[in-house]
Amino acid sequence: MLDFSILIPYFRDFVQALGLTLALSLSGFAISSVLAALLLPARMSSVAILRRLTWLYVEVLRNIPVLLVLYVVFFALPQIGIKTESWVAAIVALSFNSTAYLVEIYRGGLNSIPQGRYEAAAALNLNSFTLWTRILLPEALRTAYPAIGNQLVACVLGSSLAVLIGAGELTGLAYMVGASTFRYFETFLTVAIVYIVIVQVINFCWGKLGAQIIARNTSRRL
Amino acid sequence: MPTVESIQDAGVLRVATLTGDAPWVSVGADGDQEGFDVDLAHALAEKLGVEVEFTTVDGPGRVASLQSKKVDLTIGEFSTTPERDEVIDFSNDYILNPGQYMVVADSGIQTSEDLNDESMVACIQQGGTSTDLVPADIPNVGTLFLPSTDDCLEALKSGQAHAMTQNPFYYLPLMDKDPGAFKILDGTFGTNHIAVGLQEGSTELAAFVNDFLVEYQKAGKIDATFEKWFGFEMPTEARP
Repeated sequence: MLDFSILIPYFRDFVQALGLTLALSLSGFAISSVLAALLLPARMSSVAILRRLTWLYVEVLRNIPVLLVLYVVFFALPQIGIKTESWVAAIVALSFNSTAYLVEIYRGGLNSIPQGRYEAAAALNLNSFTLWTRILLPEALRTAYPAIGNQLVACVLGSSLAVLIGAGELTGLAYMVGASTFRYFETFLTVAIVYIVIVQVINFCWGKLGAQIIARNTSRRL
Repeated sequence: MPTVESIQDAGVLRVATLTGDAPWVSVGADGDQEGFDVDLAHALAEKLGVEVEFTTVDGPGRVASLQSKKVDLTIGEFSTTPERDEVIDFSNDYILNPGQYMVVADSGIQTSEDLNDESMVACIQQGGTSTDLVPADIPNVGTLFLPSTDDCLEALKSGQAHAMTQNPFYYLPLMDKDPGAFKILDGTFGTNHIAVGLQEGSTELAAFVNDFLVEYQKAGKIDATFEKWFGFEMPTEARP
């Protein structure tokens, strides 16, 4: 006997928790997009030490669970004086993890550009600013774009781990409501549907945005 | 729903109990359940003349396993609450468990009033009875909800929380292990009434369990098992 009406009194809590889920995942994604862009030149640098250090960061962060990063940020860092609230710890952990993936996604995009582009640019005597802004970045973005969208979705789903440090986002609220109503099935089913809707909306918007960006970059010819 | 007769016919009493909640219940070196509540379950089964079959569940599973009729009884540091009482039944209380705040010894926090401030954080186990009791007692305190009591202890040690919200039975072994590290504040924020949980409508079985509990107390068995598992004499405030 399913009875979803028991969730009605918690409607405002769910809206708040949804807001927190979006805030955690979108900030984690935004921060990691920038950090990854900053790390990318080092990752592809001809200076060995820079290349190796960023390689180490990427490998370490891709080889440990986000959960562990979350525990380190929330429970271990305070012991050396760096204390953060649950939501901050969640954003930090998500950003650290997502940065590692995004560096590789960006790098993959750039690596997909055939050598001929560089030769053609040299033949046309393009300066390197024009080469990057007009040729390399738009083309790399087009290749990497869907993978970047997947990473955004990974951030949304990964934010649910913050339940373990009590951030109170959607999954955390589901546990609380389940424990006080004893209606786990209705609660978790509802939250699952909310996640599906979020991800579908993100996929839709990401696709639309991508079509815009790619159309703009290809119509503006040299 | 189970009756005394149906349990005796089956020859087995199905009991849901908690996971890792020593000294109430834990898994011993031989792989069997042991603890204060486990002894109680065995004594009850003995009176029924049957064997016990334990199912280990987490906090919320104590209600869910009764609702889904997977077990006859829940015996696992199980507090009576009005919300739980709506969906399952309870026996009479067999022990009382006062909620107390524990803080780091050198934190400078002296009373629960010191905690009643927005800058303070109290750690509460998700789905536990402290969820409502603590905000009712000190409405201004910030709350941090973590999955288990041990996570809260970790939060207290790391400074993520200023207080934990458990009971002396959990604190006292800790104080023994790590003397001088923590301090229990005076007073309580509400008392948990620990009872045996039954499927809704098990009136006949509840009467049997209540008779058993009276005998168990009168014979002094509850005092003996308490001292055996908790390591100190059963405090008077724990008697129902």
